[in-house]
This record gives sequence, C-alpha cells and structure tokens, in this order.
Amino acid sequence: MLFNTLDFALYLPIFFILYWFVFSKNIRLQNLLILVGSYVFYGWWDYRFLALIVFSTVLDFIIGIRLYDNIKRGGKSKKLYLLLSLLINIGFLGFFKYYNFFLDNFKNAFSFFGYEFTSSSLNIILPVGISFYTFQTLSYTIDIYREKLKPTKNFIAFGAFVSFFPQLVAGPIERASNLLPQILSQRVFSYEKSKQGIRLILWGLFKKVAIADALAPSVDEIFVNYSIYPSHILIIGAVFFAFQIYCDFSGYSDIARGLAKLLGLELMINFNFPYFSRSIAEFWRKWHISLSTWFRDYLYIPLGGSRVSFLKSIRNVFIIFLVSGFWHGANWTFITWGAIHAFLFIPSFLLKNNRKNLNDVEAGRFYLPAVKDVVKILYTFSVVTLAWIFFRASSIDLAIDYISNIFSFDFSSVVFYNPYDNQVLFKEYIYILMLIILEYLFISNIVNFYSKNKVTGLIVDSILFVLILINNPVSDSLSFIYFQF
Amino acid sequence: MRGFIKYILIWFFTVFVLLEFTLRLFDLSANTMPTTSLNNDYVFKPNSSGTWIRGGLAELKNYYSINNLGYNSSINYNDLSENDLNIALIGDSYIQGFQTDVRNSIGRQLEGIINPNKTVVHEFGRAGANIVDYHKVYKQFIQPKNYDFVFILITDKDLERYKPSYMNRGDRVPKKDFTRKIYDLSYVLRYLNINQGIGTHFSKLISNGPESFERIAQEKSIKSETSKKEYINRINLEIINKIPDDIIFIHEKEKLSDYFIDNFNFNFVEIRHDLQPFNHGFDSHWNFNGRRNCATSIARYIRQNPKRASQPNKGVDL
Repeated sequence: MLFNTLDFALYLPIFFILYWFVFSKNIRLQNLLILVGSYVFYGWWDYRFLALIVFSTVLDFIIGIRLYDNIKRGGKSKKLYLLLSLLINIGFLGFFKYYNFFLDNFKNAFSFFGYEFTSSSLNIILPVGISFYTFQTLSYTIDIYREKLKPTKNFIAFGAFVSFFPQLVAGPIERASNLLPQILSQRVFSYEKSKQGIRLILWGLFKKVAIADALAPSVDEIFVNYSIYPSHILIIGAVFFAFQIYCDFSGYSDIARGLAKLLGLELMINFNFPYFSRSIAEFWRKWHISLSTWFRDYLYIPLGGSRVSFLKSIRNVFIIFLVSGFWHGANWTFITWGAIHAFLFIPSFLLKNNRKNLNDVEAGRFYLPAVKDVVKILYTFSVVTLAWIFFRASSIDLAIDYISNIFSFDFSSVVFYNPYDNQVLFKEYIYILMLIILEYLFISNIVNFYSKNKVTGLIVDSILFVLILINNPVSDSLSFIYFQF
Repeated sequence: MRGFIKYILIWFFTVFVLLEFTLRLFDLSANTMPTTSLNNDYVFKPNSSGTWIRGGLAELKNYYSINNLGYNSSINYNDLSENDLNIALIGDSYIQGFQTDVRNSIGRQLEGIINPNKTVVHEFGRAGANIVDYHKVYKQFIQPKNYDFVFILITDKDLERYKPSYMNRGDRVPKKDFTRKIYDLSYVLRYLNINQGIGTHFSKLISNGPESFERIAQEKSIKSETSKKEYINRINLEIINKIPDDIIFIHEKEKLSDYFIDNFNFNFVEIRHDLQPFNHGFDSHWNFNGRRNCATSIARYIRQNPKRASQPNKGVDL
C-alpha cells in the first residue's frame, strides 16, 4: 500500500479508530493491531512476501533470547548466534537483491579470462523494504550481542517493532533501543503530538505529490533521451532529479514520522535539510541519517573508524561509502556513486575539518544567510547533483555520457515540454523555489514548522492539503523511489 | 481526543472551502454535461456547449459543442448536399473526441485534408458505445440518407456487446434529487469524483476482485490463436451479419483481432500512427496527433477508393 493512494486514505482512519477507540486500554491488543495492520499494509502489495518478514521476525526473536541467555551463562556460543542471524538475514537480502548481480559479474569475469561460466539469471522479484527491515532486525541482534540491549520476550511487541507499517518499507531504519521501549509502554493520546503528526504527513505528501511526482516525468524523459538535449536541459534534468529523490525519500520519512506521532510513537529524524549543507561531511550528517548512523555504528566503528592507522582509516571511509552505495542497489552505478562521495569526503577527512559545520545555517542580516555559506551550499549541492547522475543512470557509460554532454556547453535553444502535461516547465520551478524558501525558514528558525498558533496551523494544514489534492497526478500513483532499495 | 476530532472537522471544512474557491478561481473542475432523451436515445443535450475538463490541474481543457442530434460536433447534421462528398464516422469516445477542441475533431481534420469546401463529415461518436449502438445509429441516421462513405471505428471489445449503451435506451436522464443538485453545484465533489477518479477507484476497490481478474484473463485470451472458437462465440454475430458490407471498419492494429479482419467480408482501414500520438497518463485517448493520424488514414483510403463514392464525379478533388 502506498501512502499517496486512496487505499491508504481509507486504511488510516480505520486503523486510527481501532487503535485509539477500541484497543486503547489494552497495550497488547494495540500492539497486535500494529502487527496485523502492518501485515495487511505490506500484504496489499504482495502477500507472499509476508512470509519473509514473519520468518525474519521469528528468527531474530528466538536468536535474541537465546543469545542473551548464552551471554548470561558466559557467552561461549554468542558469536555463533550472531553469525547465524547475520548469515540468514544477509543471505536473504543477498539472494533477493544481489544474486543476479554477482552471477552476471562472475560470468563477465570468467569470460574475460576465456572461461565459459554457464548459469542463468533468475527472475527474482525484490521484496519491497527488505533492506530496511533486515537492517532493523540485524541491529537488534547486534545490540544484544554487544550487551547494549536486553531482548524482549513479548513476541507481539517485537513483531510490531520489525513490521511497524509507517517505516516498514522505506525507513527510517529504527533501532530497537529507540522504538521497542515505546512499543512496550502504554501510549497516551496527545493532541499536540497528533497535530504535529498531521503537519508532518501533509508536508511529506506535499513533497512527494506536488514536487517529486511532478518532476518525475521530466527527469525520466531527459535521462532516457539525454543525447538529444543541450547542456542546460541536462542540467535541469540532474537538478530535478536531485530534488525528486530528496522530496520522494524525505517525504516518505516525514509521512512515516507523522504517522508514528499519530499513534503516540516517535521515529528518528531521517533528513535534516541536507541541501543546505556546506560540505560533503555535513551532507552525510543530514542525508538518510538512519542509514549513515547504522553504517557508522555497525560497520565503521567496528572496523576501527578513524582511530586506526592513516591508511586503514582511509580504507574504512571507502568501505563505508562503497557499502552504502551497494546497499542502494545491485548495480555498479550505485557503487560508483558511493565511491564519488568517498572521494569528495576524503579531503575534509584528511584536513580533519569533517567535523566542521555541526550547527545549521543561520540567518544573518535581513534574514539572509552569509554569502560564504551560500557559496559553500551551492558548491556542495553541485557536486552532490553530479554524483546523483550516476545514481539515476542505468549504466556508468550512460552517466559519463550524460556528464560529457553537459560539459559540451551546447546551449542551443530548445523548449522542453513536460511529458506528463505537454506544458513548458513552470510550476516545477515555483514549487522547488517554494521548497527552498520554506526549508530555509525552518532550518534558520525564522519560522517554526510546528507553529502553535491555532489559526496559523489550521491555515497551513489546509493550504498543504489543497496543494496535494490539486497536484495529485490522476494516473496511477507513483511509487516511492526508495521502495526499490 | 475530543479536541483533535474537533480540529479534524474544522480542518476538513476549511479544506473544502479553500479547495472550492481554488477550483472555481482556476476553473479546474470537470463540468456536469446536461443529458436528455432524444427520440428514445440517451444523449447530451442538443445545442449546448462548454469546456470539457479532466486531470488534476485541468491538463485536458477543451471546448465542446453538442449539435442538433446530441453529438459532439461543431456542425449540425441536416440534409446532405448532393454536391458534397458526405462521410459518416461512427464510433465511441475516440470519435466523440472530447480530448481535443471540437474544431480539431477527426471530422474537421478529414474535411481539411480532402477538400474543406466540398467535404462534409458527420461524427456519431459516443463514449462507451458498442456494435449494437453502431448498428442502431446506422439504421436511424445513416441508412435514410445517402452518405458516400460510412466508417465505423471498431475494437474487439465493441463486438462482444449484446446491448446498446445509449441508443433506444429510453429516458435514462438522472433524476435531479437533492444530492445530485449538491453534487452539480460543488466543484470539490466533481473534482474529486471525475478529475481525480475517486469514485471509479472506490468502486474498483469494493468490486469483486476475482471476477475482475477473470475478465482481464478473458480479454487477454481473445488475442491468442487457440481461442478462435471462443472469439466467435463471444462476438455478436447476429448484429455483425446485419451490417452492410459497404461499411468500412477503422481499427488500430492492437485492438482488433486479425481473425476478424481475415474472415469477415468487410473493408478495413488500419490507422497508421505516422505522427507520435501524445496521451496523458490518466486518459489514453488520442490527442490532436492521434486524431490527425486517424483522419489521414481515412483520407488515404478514400483517395485509393474514389469509386466507392455514390457519385465519384462530384467534383471533389480526391
């Protein structure tokens, strides 16, 4: 089920009424509702893949308890339990997501050396959200292994944690230490929190429906037929994709956080205005925070992080960026995207100024940011956008071609029509500008996103809803990009 | 919780008012087209006109004009002149053509291509019409007159129907009860129902899923070679046999079975999409280019078969 569909618009009120009016006094029933509701939500797409989530849940629930018992008895077999969880969870992920990639690359490698490797690719459907819930259950087991977390013996609560529908298919990737205690505690309805939830849902939907979906047809057209377009159209295509992927993914995260608030729960912030970053390091502190902190805590730090020899610390930076790229998809384009970010990050890492800009951009005179900050923001956005071309392109060759065509400096006069409505681009620019201005007002605290003024809040929520309704594409609702990861 | 529910209700009311205002200001909502019963046919109200709007941001916004017989056409259908080349086009929504300005319809384009001063095209298009309607249109409007060419746009789906969708269906004009009046007055309700297709989506959601799957499977099987017998059983042979053989069927390659083309003694014109037809995601009908392709294909046929005209020497330069 997609958040931007009528199905979900009907599902949510039913769920909300059952949650707060029927089962509110019994936390076990509330959690059971979350579990069943989440399975319905997921099964709406393809009920067959529910078996994977159920299996993963049962496996990590049992391993968590056994692992903890083992640790209490001295921990002789604790590595075995951890290994079992890692192998099975990553095994599933590897099979569904990377099987064909590895097979094709093995074939290519063998044929390069003159050998024939015969094995046919499988027609594998990637289960939606597998990367997200696998990482979520993995963090649970690893935290128990590290003795940072006690396992729960409440299977319903654990199942609800793994499959919690607001963030099941595209994050944020929650840690058990944050979400599980909330699921295990009695929830109390909060008027303010619910209003904040609605604001977040509307803001997320606005970004998804009015911006990401509006940009999608132009981006698709430009990336498919890039060879016929002059440089400035290709730049527009790349910039549009930068905003499309941001609005799509951060929109989903906002909706997820808003839904959780409506249910009395808090999810972590996944995006913190990343396009206002003044360096790549800052960008990665603000983009897909739940994934980058996951890799930091479960990969980078165990590898030694920056507290190892110079060469090893460089290696660790590369590993984390390459793995991050590979997590997004089984394609060399994603790995290249990760590598580009690693190369962009390394200079600041070497100069030890990657911990700069820990605070957000601030408003100066006339509510404007400092010129120095604007220049840095523009530079960071430009390099991030160039890297996005590899992320979006279907092959590395195509991405290189695309970038070469940009630098051919062909600015011949071509009018680009949005393939969706056959109109010249206009509202797309307006909405992007609106987004930039609003985000700047939020990040610099000139405007409070959760305005407590009742009338202002009502007007903002109403305007957002109207904008969503009049911008909703009438054709089938577009899926969220990060579902494929 | 009470405060929250109050907030939700006030918020929904505010959204309704704001959306109503926005839709009226920018004219984004689909209009209700008046219908009537004319000679027992359920048609659009004759001699009415307006703007046909579809899409979330009114991506499709076209002028329409309903003529004296209730069809979308910029001309009235009166007696035919013997000096003109008279052509009739019968079909469904593609011929009805709300997706382009009525002045750019297939008929008007066809007249322009052949000879604007000596050609008259009458378009009998109605959304959802089928072979039974086409036959009734033929009997009621075409047969009494002396058209030089009669074309029917046809698909496999049209041939499968046994009941007319609008011809001789009696008085089926919806009663204007209170809820209908509210609906007609409200831009928001029409916008959500028609432009955003919520009504259709909702009925799909509650309709019987397995039945729908079965229907899709049947529609797909029509194309397969093994289902020729099934195809014959499915199509309305009784009506097809009543259609005179001087009728020319227009079709798109994908939408009419080769079996029908090869085994029935009619003339066929396949629409060649020389120009790239542009469709909106939410409306797969032809736009200007698609209609141009249709008009060009028909004109090509007429030029190749001038002798089919009742009086080939009408002076029309084919």
